[in-house]
Amino acid sequence: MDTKWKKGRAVCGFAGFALGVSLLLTSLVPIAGNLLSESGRDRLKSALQSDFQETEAFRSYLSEMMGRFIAMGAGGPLNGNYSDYYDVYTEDAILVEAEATAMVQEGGVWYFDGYPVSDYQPSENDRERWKKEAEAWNKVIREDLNLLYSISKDGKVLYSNTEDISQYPTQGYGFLLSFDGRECSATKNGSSIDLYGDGIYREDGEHWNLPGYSNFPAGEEAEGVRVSIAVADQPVLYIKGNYGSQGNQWRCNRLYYLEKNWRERQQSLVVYGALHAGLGLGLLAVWLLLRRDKPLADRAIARFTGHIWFEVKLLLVLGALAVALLPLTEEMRYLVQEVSYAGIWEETVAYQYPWFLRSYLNEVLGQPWAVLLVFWSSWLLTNDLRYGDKPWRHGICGMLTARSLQLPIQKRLSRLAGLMVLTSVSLCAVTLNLLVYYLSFGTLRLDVVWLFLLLPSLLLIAVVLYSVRLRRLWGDLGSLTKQISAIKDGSLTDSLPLPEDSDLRRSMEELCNIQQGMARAVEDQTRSERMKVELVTNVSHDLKTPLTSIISYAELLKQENLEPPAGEYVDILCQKAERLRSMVLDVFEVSKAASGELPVKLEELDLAKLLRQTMADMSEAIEAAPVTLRQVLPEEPVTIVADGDRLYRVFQNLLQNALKYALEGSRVYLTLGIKDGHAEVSVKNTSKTELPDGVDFTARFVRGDESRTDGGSGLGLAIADSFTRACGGDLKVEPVADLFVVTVRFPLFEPGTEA
Amino acid sequence: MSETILVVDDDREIVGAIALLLEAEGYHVLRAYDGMEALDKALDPALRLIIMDVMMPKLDGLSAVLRIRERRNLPILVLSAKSEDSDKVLGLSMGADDYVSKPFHPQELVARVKSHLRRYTRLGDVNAAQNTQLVTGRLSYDPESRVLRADGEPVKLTATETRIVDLLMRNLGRIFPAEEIYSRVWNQDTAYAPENTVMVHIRRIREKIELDPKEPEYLKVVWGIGYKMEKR
Repeated sequence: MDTKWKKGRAVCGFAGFALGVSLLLTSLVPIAGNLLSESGRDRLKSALQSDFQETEAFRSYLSEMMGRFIAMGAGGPLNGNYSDYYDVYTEDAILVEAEATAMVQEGGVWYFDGYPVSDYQPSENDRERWKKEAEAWNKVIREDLNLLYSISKDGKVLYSNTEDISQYPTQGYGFLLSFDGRECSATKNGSSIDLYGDGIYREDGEHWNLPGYSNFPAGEEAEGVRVSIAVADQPVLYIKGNYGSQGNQWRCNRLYYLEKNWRERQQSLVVYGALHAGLGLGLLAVWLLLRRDKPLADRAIARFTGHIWFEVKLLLVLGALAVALLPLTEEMRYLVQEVSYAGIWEETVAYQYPWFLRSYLNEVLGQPWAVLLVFWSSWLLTNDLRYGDKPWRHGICGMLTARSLQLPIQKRLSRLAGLMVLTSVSLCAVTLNLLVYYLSFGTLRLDVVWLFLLLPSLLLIAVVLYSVRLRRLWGDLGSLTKQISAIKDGSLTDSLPLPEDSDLRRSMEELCNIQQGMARAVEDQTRSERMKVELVTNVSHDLKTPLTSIISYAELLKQENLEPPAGEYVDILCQKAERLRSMVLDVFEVSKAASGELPVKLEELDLAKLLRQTMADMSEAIEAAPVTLRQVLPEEPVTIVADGDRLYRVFQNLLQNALKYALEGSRVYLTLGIKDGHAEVSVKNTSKTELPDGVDFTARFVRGDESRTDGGSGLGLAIADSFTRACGGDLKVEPVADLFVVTVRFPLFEPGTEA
Repeated sequence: MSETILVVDDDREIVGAIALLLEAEGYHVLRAYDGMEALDKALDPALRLIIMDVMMPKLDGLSAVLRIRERRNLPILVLSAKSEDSDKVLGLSMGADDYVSKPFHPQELVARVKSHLRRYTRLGDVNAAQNTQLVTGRLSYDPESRVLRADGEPVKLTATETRIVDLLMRNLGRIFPAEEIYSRVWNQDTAYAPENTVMVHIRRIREKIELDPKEPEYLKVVWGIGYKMEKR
């Protein structure tokens, strides 16, 4: 219940965040984009006006029309405002003009855009041409009844599209702009409008571009011209039916579109923008309330995106960015064209780029889907990085890195794959670079382009497939190798199954078969070993009871002090009974040690001291023996970890053997040395008899001389061997000719390591 | 000193042999051949000690020991053909005082019987002197008079042996390296072979205090480290 509630809160929080951010982005980002460029700022400003007649576009449109109408009335050219350009030019331009003026004065002709720049007098031809132009243009605009006009000169009406302009302003045409030969005046719904402000024209978009300022007089030729323009309050579309020849003809309609654009922009920017922003803020508030629960949803998303290769995610983000930046709209294509021309033909790139970037970015930000695409793809990536478990590891590169690989063959294979990927990626990069280079010069045929695109993608696909395959291979190889090591280390039950379709499955199965066979064999062996131990235990137990009687009665007999030779027989009985007793005990211990059931008490001890103690303990036997014992023991402690009692038995047995079987008068050597981090004790003696070849001396009941019957159970070496093993050491018998060498090795104890 | 001893074993020959051995030492011996019979005979008020085999019909030795312990406080020696440490521990925890594995040396068994009887009869003495005396198992040592007693009997020691016993008994359970024993007993820092010298004395002391000097219970060698007096 609680978790459900938490989940619900998380989903709501995330939904609030997602929708709120999306709405805010779509509403605010275009506005922000508009703020970047001047035209955008103007658009914003006009959209904020309550009346389209207040907008700058309207002012410039009407100013332009008025300028043309005055020109028509004065008989001048419609597009003749060349002198405007000079104002923005720098000193260079002024110098050029001065030069031109000078040339003209010297009788030469300077042409600027087809017309000589000087105080030239238009010819009759010019006048004629301008008049035709004016009439033609009049034809074009007169049927756009959103704009009613009347142009007269010296009292005579030259051009008009209305019966009587003096009746305006009327219903539907509230705005009236008129020119009286010197300056203009405007009224709106009867009240006059201040056109000139402080009387000085400034190029700021706020001023009407009309003659009549102190720095912008109308000029002499406009003296007798009178122009009146009435503007429709609600412009409509004008279409003229012309079914006889062309079908419907659309009229000029500039004012209509001007108003329509303004209205739509106002709607989209102000109405929808405000609505979306408000709604978005509300949803963000929901997120703020539930912000503690939202990470749950983020994590869920990260879990989901965690399944995707990191490279793919990266590519998706880059792709989203690229798609968003593609010149998809008319305006963007125009901008790109402009700047590329500028880049190629002019040296004004530095001047062009900031403007281009601002305008282009504005266009990009004006496309809500592009903004959302970029934002959400990067959000997903960020979320993935934040909540995912090292997401960069899950991917092609992650797969190919050798970090988690231990086996040399895996590392080698992964490096090989990495090399392949690197090579192919660089190849693709080079190819794409070439493609872009040629495309920018526009000299590439479409089929070649396809080839350029096709080859690298095929290569990439092949390499990715290859890498994936190779990765599986090295994974399987790793499993196989691990399994082999596990078997080597003695694990006979665990098996790592490989998938059905793996190339190495057969090998793995065979390995598992071997493992099972070994497990069976080991099991059989341990069972038989256990049975043997049980048998020995039982037998020795069964031997002990009668042996007790034998020993006891032999002892009683001995106490009878029988006459010889009966007394001697009793002594022999006692001796042999004693020997039988020690053999039974030894057999029992050896079989237990061999089966690994001998309890050992491991502790740190000084091996040199142990040897000295052993020799001291056996000093009587040593002195009695017909051999000399030579010892080479280090003064400093040789610390090992072992069970002292057992180890004493080991060396006791070894020394006893050496004393017993050494040639009379020879020397027995006991040495202790350190070799490769191991303490090494060796007992060397020259054998009395020839040593047989190929005999395992540590086997039970084996003696140097098969026929020997005197002394020794034949268990001494077996006990020494099994006890050494039980303590973690290692015993070796190495007869060299008649020299009998037994070596016992123990790893040296290193302080700090686990004993 | 004709003390009565109960010998219990299902093997009649073994009971006979033990009885003969003990009777040769002057003890009076009762015989039983299974656990139930042992319970009956154990009620004899003259009884001073019991020797009990573990594996027997009707009632096994350890159960019999448990039941006898409920009624009588006297030394019980357990005999067993099993010689594993765990069996030993089990036997001792059931209330047995000692544990002898088969096959045993007749002399060893007799020595143990004697030791237990001595301690049992002289228990009062040991308790009375406990304040000043250092006790471990059947050994007690008086540091003031420097007398070591085994089963209450004073042990005759040489001067050097006494010094070694003094050191070890005053530090029961502590392990002394041969060098330390040498320097403290002989008051000399180094010796050519302290191990040998010390060992010779240790062996002699063992012969005086241990029941089986070949398998000492008290004066022990800690192989590879040193020597100690076992704390019991």
